[in-house]
Amino acid sequence: MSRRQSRSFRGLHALIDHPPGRDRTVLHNQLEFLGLKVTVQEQASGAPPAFVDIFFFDADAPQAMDQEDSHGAFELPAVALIGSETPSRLQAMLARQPSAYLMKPIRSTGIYASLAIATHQFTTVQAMRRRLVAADERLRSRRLLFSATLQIMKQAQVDDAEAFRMLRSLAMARRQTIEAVSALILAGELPLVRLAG
Amino acid sequence: MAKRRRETIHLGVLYSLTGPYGLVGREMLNGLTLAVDQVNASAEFDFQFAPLVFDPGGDLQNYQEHCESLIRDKGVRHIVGCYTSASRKQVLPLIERYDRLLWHSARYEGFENSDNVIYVGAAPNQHVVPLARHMIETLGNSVYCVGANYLWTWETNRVLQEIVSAAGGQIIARRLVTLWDTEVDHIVREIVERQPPIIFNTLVGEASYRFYRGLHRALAGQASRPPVLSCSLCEPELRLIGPRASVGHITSSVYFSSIDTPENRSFVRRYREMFGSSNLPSVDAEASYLCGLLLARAIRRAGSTDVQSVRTAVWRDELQAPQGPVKVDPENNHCYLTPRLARSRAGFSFEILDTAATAVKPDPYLTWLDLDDLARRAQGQPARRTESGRDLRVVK
Repeated sequence: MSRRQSRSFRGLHALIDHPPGRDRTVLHNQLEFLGLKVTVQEQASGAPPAFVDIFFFDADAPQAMDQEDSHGAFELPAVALIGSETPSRLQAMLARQPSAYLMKPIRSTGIYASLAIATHQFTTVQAMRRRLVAADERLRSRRLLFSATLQIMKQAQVDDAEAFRMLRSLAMARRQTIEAVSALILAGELPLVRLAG
Repeated sequence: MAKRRRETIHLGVLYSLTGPYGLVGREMLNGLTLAVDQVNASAEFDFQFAPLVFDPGGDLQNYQEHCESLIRDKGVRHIVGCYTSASRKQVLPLIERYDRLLWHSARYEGFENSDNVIYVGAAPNQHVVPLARHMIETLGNSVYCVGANYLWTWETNRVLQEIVSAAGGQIIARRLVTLWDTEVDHIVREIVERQPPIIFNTLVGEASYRFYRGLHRALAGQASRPPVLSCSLCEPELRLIGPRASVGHITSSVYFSSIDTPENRSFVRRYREMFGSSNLPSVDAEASYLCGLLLARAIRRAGSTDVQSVRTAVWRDELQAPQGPVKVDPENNHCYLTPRLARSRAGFSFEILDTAATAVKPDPYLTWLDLDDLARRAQGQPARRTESGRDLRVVK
C-alpha cells in the first residue's frame, strides 16, 4: 500500500463559528475546495457537536458577560480566527487552547497549512497528554511499590531484592499487577503472613 | 504627479454620521471640515481638498463597501475615517491591499501598527495608563468597572487591572452591558449598595449618559460620592448628560476645549463660528482636524499624493496643534501627543487638572509600560480619596 506524503483532509467535517462576511466566505469556500464538509454557525455556545472534526472559531467574538472566559479547551483540533491582537482577546483565545490560528482578513493561502498544523498539533498534544497520564500513574504506583517493599522488608526481615521477589510472586499468583498487590498490602487487605509461604 | 495650481485632491471620508455613534461621527466631520476649509482658504497650499463623504451609519459591511467604492470608483489615495476598532479592522485589508493611507483620528486600545494607517488618536499609554496612574497615586486602588461588552472595555480594563494589581489593589467588580443596550439601572443600584471607592466607566453613548444621570439621582444628598473615571467622556456628551449630572467626572484625554493656548483659542473660535457658538470641539474633532492638516502639509511637502511620499513627508512634520506639539513617530505611525486629566464642570466643559510636561511618545503595544515603577510611585504617596483634586497640579 502506498502512503501519501501529502495529507488530504477530504471528508473531514469543519465547523466555522463566525459572523457572516468575507472572512467566513473565503474560509468556507477554501475548505470545500479542499474536500471538507462545512457547517457554519454564529456565536453558538457549548462544545461543537461530535460529528465535527475541526473547529474554526472567532477569537474576536464577544465574551460572556461578567466572565473572563466562558469556554473551556476543545477536545478536537481548533483554529482561532484572529482579528484583534490585544492581550485581553489573546488571553480569552488561549484559554480555549487552539491548535492553530489564522489572521484576518482570511485568505485562501494559509488555510491548508492551518488544517495541517491544527490536526498535527492536536494529535501530538493528545499523545503527550496520554503519555503524561500514564507517567503520572506509574509515578504514583512507584510510591506504592516502594512503600509495600519497605513494609515486607520490615515485617518479613528480608532484603529489598527478596521483598520485591515476594511481591512479584504474589502478583503472579493472584493474576494482578504488582502495583495493585502493593496497594492491597498497604491497605492491610493482604496480611503479610500469606507472603511467607 | 506634477504640481499644478490649485489642483483638486479628492479626499475619502468614512465617518458614521448616523447610527449609534453618529454624534461622534458628526464631531469628527466638523473637525475635518475645519481643516479642509483652512487648507482651501490658504494660499500656502497649491491644491484644494474636495472631501467625498461616505456615511456607513455604523454598519460594518457598509464600511467595507464604502471604502472599496472610495478606492476603486473614486480613486482616492487618502481616507480619513473610522471610529470603532471593528470598523477599522473592516477596512484595513482593503487599505493595505490597495496601498492607500487611512488617517485614523480616534483613540483606541492599541496593539496594531499598519504601514497604511496614520494613527492620530491616542494610544493606550496616552489615555488609560495616565488615568490608571492618577488613580493609584491619588484616589486609591480598588475600582468598580462598568462598561459596554466590547473590545475597548476588555482591553482598558485589562490594563487597569494590571496597574492596580501591581499597586496592590484590585478591580472589585466588572459589570458589562451589551453594546448599545441602555439598561443600566441595576448597576446604579449595585453601586449605591456596595459604595465602591472609585468607578471606571467605559459605557458608550446613551447607556453612559443614563448611567451618569442615574448615579447622580441615586447619590443625591450623599456627602461623599465615588469619582467616576473615563477615557472618553467629552464636551458634547456633557450636554447630553445634563447640566447637573455631567459635573465632577474625571477624564483622561489628549485634548480638552479649555486648553488655554493661542492655537487652541483660535481653533475653538473658528469651530464655534462654523458650527454654532454653543458648541465646543471634542478630542475627536481636534484629532480629525489634525488628520486633515497633517495630510495637507504632507502632500505639500511631498509635492504629491503618492502614499509612500506622503508617509515619508508626514514623518518629518511637527505641528503646533490646539493640544500642543504633535508629530508622527516613524517607528509605528502613531503620534506624539500630550496626555491630560480633567474634571467636568458646570457649563459643559472641563477643568484641566494635570498636563504631561511634554508630548508623550506613542507606545501602542505597551512595550515600555513599567508596572514596578508605577507601583513605586503610588507607594510614595498615601492612597486616599479626593473629590476636589486640590492636591493635583492645576495647569491652565
